[in-house]
Amino acid sequence: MTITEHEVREIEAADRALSPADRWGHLRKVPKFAAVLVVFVAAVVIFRLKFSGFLDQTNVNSILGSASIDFLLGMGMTLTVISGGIDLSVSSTAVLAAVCGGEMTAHFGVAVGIIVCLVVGLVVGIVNGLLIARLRLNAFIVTLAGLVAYEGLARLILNDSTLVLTTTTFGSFFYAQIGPFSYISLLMLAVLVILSLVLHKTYFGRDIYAVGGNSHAARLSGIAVERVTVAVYAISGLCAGIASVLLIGFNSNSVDPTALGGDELTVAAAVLLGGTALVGGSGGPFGTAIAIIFFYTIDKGLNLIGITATYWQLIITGVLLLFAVLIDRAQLLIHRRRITTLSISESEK
Amino acid sequence: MGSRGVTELVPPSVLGDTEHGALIVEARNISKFFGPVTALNDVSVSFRAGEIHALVGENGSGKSTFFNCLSGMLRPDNGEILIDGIAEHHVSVRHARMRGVAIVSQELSLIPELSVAENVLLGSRDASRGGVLRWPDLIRRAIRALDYVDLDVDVSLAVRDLSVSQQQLVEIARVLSFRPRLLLLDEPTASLESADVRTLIQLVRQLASEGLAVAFTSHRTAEILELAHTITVLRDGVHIETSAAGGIDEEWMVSRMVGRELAKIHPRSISLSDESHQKSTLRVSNVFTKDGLVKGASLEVHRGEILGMAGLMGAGRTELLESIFGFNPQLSGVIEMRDFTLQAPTPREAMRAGLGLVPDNRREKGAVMGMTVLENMLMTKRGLKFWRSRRRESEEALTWMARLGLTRTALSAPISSLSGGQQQKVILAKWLRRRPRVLLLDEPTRGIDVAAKAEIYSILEACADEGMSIIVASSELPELLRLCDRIAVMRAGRVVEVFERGATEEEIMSVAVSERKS
Repeated sequence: MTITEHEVREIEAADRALSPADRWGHLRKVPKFAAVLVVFVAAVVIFRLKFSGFLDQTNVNSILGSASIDFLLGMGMTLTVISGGIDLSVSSTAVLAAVCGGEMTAHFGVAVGIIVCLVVGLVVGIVNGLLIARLRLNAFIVTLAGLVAYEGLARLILNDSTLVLTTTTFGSFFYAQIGPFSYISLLMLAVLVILSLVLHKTYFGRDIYAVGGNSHAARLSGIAVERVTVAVYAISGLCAGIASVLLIGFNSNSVDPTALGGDELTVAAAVLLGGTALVGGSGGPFGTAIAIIFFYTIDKGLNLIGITATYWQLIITGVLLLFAVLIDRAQLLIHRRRITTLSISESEK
Repeated sequence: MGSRGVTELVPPSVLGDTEHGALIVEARNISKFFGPVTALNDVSVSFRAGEIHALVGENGSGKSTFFNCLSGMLRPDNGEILIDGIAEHHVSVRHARMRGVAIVSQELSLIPELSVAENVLLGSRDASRGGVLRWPDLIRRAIRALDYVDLDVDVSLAVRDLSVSQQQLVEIARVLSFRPRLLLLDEPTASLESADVRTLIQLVRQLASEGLAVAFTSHRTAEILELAHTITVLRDGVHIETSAAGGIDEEWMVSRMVGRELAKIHPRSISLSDESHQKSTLRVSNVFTKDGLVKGASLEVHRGEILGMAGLMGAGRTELLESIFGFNPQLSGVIEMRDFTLQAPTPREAMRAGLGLVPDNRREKGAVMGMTVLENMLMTKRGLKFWRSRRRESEEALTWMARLGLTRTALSAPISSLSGGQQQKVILAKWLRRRPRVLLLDEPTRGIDVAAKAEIYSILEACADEGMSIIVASSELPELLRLCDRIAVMRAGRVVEVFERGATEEEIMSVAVSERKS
């Protein structure tokens, strides 16, 4: 059974013939966050028309700065959702890491503090992952428990008070810039790019999609499902660890254990709005990134208009979530029709 | 069962007040298009009372589409459907059902969590008053309906707890309660064991003798020839021929379905006394599984041998194969391969030892439906590469696609867009690329059309000729008899007997069903 030049041509031709369908395939993914992309662009255009300075460096950096913490939490959560689970504990993990890191900074300096932030995030993530993968516990429940418990732990450590650091390093890092770009925005970009590369260009990334898409098939294909799961939660924890460093800076070198209360829901909404399906196996960090930045753009814009009440942001988020689900639904119907057509044409050739 | 079938639930027409042979439903010049694809092209078929009509054709030939048009699931783009000579423009399954056309689809439409009784009466308002269910009434009616299909189960059980064939009977009972005059059965036997197929065949005959028109599709030629009065062949959406079943043989049917003569099948023969086949490559001893379905099974397979595994459903075939591969947890047992001895392995350990498993359910275990052909095929990793390379991946995938005759399939198409046979080939490729020493296959041809089946057989035979050992579990005995050098029969979780090539279907069945001797 040797492969002939002719046969290779035939398959390549089939691939080309299908490439409209393949483009379809991509299109099918794009509209999932297209909804949020469209309203994001629209919002930016409207705010720009209203405030000529809306796209100025300082304003953009300020939006990105306030979005940065949720952005990083969202990156981690996206990964866990793709793998078929969810990490609801991201915000408490970040708070716990910030508390531990802050305490260490007070005693041993900034370098040790930052390392502790990252390590605590990573360790918490690994614990979540092990509970979920090894003991086969439900990810939603494990991380919901973590959400409550880690914040409790953080408050216990600080005895329900706020820790104010003497160093100003965190704050100045948070607002530092290289040329027109803030350090924070470059950090966000770097995390986004690295995660996208991992997901799309490595076998590990493909394994994450496979585990989320069908964990039985993944296991039967020799994918180390447990290891992939633990790794995904570890990465989510590490992202929360990075976010905790920013959190200290954002709060002007202080740590308030209740600072992120409720953020996990904003982040979860952004993950879904960004086109990562709750059932796993699809989506990606780019949509989440857009959705988070969108939330904070609205926030900023409404602020500028003079609406400071956060309920507008809540209402808009809710409406958009429904909108995104509707678009998803419409896409699914179109896609189904296409699949039927495709499978019939395939088998009738 | 006929005499006590006189109940308010059983349609009068089933009891024979329609004259046998009377035209009930006539489909005239039906065409159906999906986008640019013609799924049905000018198909005309008529269905008569008391007639069992088989619709045959390869996957994608349009059988299911045709059934769906008849049952109101799809609206034909051209042509008309006449019921009792009146043109119908079915708008819904409900309407078709009211006019007497009912369908039992391949995928059962039962609700697993609800009780049998509730399922039987699902979609009917008979047992309710003002929308409130009256349980005694519901149960009484359900028992009567089940009586009619000769199913004796506790109607308060959840449907999930019934066997596949019992579920099917529940579905048929449900559909019969709508008093149909044309009953459409789409692949009714695909998931049934031989013994249950007998029950179903008897039921269908009974219904037809009472004046019901029955139409069914099947991939099993033997049962088509046995059951059908009339056979209609579809190919590529075109009506090829309708003929009385008398005097038709398998060759006639297959040649019309495929549109060409299939290469004559030469069963290969290896001699186990031949030295190269004496070495055993896998020896499994005394396996018990945690789920309790495998109870001390042992078997052995030699180099270059195809070993079949027969047995009734629930005999533990799937469980044994999956436990050898480490997917189904083992309690005890030893798996010996040339350089490895495995005890309760994980799938990864089993793979490292040179095992591969093509599981029984493509959708649930075989493939990740949301991913592409290429990604599914290359999911079995080799080596420690970290970065993916599009070029390297497509080169390898291209090679395997050409080898397995998937030359009209795109690499970047989602695997869910392929036909069952094509999907199965992709899953085969996923294992063959690892060159396993022993390949385990569970129901490798379930739901696959005749031509693809033959191709898969020849792929497996070629692999065996190259020295691979293959174990095939299948509910289709003719398949095992044709393909396998030896056939191991499982019963109640153990391998009870191993037959050499040349055994008959009867011999094997009698071992599979016989009561366990202590």
